[in-house]
Amino acid sequence: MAEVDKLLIQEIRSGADDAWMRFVDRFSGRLQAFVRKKIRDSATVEDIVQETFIGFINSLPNFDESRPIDSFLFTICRYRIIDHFKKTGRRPDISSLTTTDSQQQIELPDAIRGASTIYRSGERRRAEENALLQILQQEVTLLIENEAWIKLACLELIFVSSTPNKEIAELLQLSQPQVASFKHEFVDKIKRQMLRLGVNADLFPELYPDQQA
Amino acid sequence: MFDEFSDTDLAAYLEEDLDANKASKLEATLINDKHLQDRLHTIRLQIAVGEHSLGSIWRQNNLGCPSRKTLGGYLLGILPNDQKLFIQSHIEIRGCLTCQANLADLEEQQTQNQEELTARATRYYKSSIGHLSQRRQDES
Repeated sequence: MAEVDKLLIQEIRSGADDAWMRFVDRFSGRLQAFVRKKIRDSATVEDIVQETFIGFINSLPNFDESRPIDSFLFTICRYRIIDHFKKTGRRPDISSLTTTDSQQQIELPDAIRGASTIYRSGERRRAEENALLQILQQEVTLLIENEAWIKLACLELIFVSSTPNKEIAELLQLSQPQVASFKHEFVDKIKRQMLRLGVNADLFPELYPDQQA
Repeated sequence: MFDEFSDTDLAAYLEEDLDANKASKLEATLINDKHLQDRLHTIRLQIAVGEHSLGSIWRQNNLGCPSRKTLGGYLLGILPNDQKLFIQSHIEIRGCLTCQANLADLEEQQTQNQEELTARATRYYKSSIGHLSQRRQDES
């Protein structure tokens, strides 16, 4: 988290009301713009932003200062939007599933889980995902530091949007073999680092593109 | 057969993190597409047991998202071409909702009346400060 945000949080925790005003002033615009992408009714948009701020206040005692504030606020905001759509019947109800604790097992057919995926406890799975997150953070930071913008755009489109290689090549003015090579090199690097940390890469099918259907 | 919507798209949809245009398209397709309905159900179950794909981990943690300062530079058109292309791809193709919101907010700050923006922030402040005071009292 940026130093300025850390100070702001400390001031809010110590009881400075003007710090809360600065916080609201700083984040309300982006939150409102975020909700407006999903909901048109302006009164509902304001309600959701307000609920997001209240949600933040409620989680303040446990707020992890290593995490960026806006990312945390957008996560709260998304949950408020999910709640709103659930109440209005506009989205499938996933709440009963997302609140599942680590001990509860839901049987998944083999085809769903993939041949190499074995059931793990929630805790272990989280540890493995955290390890992958750290590796990804390092790699993305390195690409940004090296100003490798086209490579970063390419990898993001491959892994986050699953955009086909041909389309990526056209968008970024690369050849298809270049796109494939960026992907191959990145996957190899991630797998090597996971191996070094003793993390099971089998849990992430994207790291085994040749085996995916 | 190539699936128009990836598993990462479906997870983003369930987590309200999918670009609005793509979400509308997905909802329209879902009505008659049994295969897509089944895939969405599968992703719901995977989220339920705490499984996230590499793509979801990347998306949920906003990896690569440009800072507000950089987005400001993008708006002003002062970034190098490759960086500009990355941000364009990040916002328009990958459809990052967080950056779309930050960009819209920055544009609004340039065009909207400052008094209206302050009035809006004051409304949020007034409707939430009571909760903050209450929380402080509960803790002390």
